[in-house]
Amino acid sequence: MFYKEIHEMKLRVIIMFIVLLVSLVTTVALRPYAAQMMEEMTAQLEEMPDFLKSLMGDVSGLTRLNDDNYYLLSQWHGKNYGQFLPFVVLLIAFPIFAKEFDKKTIYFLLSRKNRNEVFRTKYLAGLGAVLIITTVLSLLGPIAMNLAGYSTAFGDTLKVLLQQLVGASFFYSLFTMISIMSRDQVKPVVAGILIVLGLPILGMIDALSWLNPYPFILGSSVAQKGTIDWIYLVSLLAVTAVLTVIDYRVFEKKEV
Amino acid sequence: MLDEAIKVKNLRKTYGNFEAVKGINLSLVPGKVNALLGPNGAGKTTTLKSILGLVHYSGEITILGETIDVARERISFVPEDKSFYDSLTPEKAIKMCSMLMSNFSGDKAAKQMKKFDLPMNKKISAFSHGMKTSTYLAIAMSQDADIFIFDEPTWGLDPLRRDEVLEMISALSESGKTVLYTSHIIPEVEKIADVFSIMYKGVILYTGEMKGLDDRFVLYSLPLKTVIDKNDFTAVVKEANVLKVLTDNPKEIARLKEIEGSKREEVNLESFFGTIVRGNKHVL
Repeated sequence: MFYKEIHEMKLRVIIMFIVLLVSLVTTVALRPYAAQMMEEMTAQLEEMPDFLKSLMGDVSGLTRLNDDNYYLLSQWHGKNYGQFLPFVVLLIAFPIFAKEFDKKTIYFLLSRKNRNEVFRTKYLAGLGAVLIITTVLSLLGPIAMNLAGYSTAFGDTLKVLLQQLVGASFFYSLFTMISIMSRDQVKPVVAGILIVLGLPILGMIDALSWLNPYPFILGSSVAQKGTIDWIYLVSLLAVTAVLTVIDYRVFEKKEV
Repeated sequence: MLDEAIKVKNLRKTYGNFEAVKGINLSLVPGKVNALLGPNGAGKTTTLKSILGLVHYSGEITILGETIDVARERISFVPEDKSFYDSLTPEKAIKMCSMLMSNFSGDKAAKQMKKFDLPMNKKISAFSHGMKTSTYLAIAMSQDADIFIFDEPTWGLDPLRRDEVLEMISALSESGKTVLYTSHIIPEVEKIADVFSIMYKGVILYTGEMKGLDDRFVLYSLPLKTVIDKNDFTAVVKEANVLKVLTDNPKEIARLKEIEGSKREEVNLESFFGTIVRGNKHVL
């Protein structure tokens, strides 16, 4: 069954890789311009009156962009790749079950294989793809920087990668649930986009800030303090485990 | 050998407030073509879905003496909607099925697809409806299953291909396989079924052997004014100016003969089905 699942997601994975590789090359290529731009902005900031400086808030990150490691963390993990990670997961997860219901091929599968096996294979194939994409694209960041002649360590990337793997798994279990509940392929995409956009909006409310997984996925704590946010990581893992069990229960009960 | 390949006991299935299957009992004779005949909406597909565990139901179903979860891999199913993975070519579909099912013969499928004149390297999405159905049937028939379940298998096929498929279904039972076959096309059922059940509005109205149907039953047209007790007969239908009476009771047959103006009609599956469906208590 893995062959079928891999065959079905092959094209989507290739397209995603190409798009994100272009983004990575662009990020690395812009490195010298970013440093130059930051120097100019820092100089302009120093000339600003104090009250304007206070309005700008904390701009220490701008000066740190001269650091190759920080540039990679903020511009690749924290922006170009990190911000798209939930959409990458959505693109992998939404059709896994919904397409079978939509195209009515689910009859072929469920009349020949037990639900447990169908769920296990489909879920793991999708999750495997998500984790591989996340790992490869994450590690490609420092590899590309080093190949371009910048001295970039892997330490921080590995810390962010761990957070990204957990974050991607969380989004995968959430999107899979919508995929199982849907009988067409449009609803899971729309619902997924609403979730990706809605969680940060809800997170803007102080009391609900924990609902926004973006700072975690983008590696804010690694960039700011150099440490993994273990509490959020363990909590998100627990939520992911619960969501996976619910995914299975929903699939087990679903009539086709 | 089991007496029944599939045994369905008091099967009920509701969708919201609508009761699609109303407590039916059904037994499939092993090694025979068992047909489930009924108009659209009779509950045939829901019955099949229940047998295959695709929907929740109340009642008891055993397949080869086991539950569906144990027996699933001994069944090959062709659903009403014959949608296969249309991004595949038949060649890749065979490869996929070989990996997916331990009882699948790739060689047999390739041979069958060639017999159906299917282009092996063209994507299934580019196929006509009939070609898609042929692809599905070729795959399903290449499984070494004990029970083959077909839901309206010939829908959308041209007459030549339809006959070919019907012959293949008959051949399955000749080789000892059990077939459960649903259709609303009476001549098809008449052609291949060994045993048939008539289903209407969620109820099985009749189950019996196809062979000797015209010997067992008689159908009489009686003048409209004839006074009879409906409960004495299998089915009674009031038509424009006659009463049609169907029975297999020898005493009643003798009585019908004596009624003035009575006329015996030929019993074939079409007249039998029409009289049973229109003349049962659920309809009148």
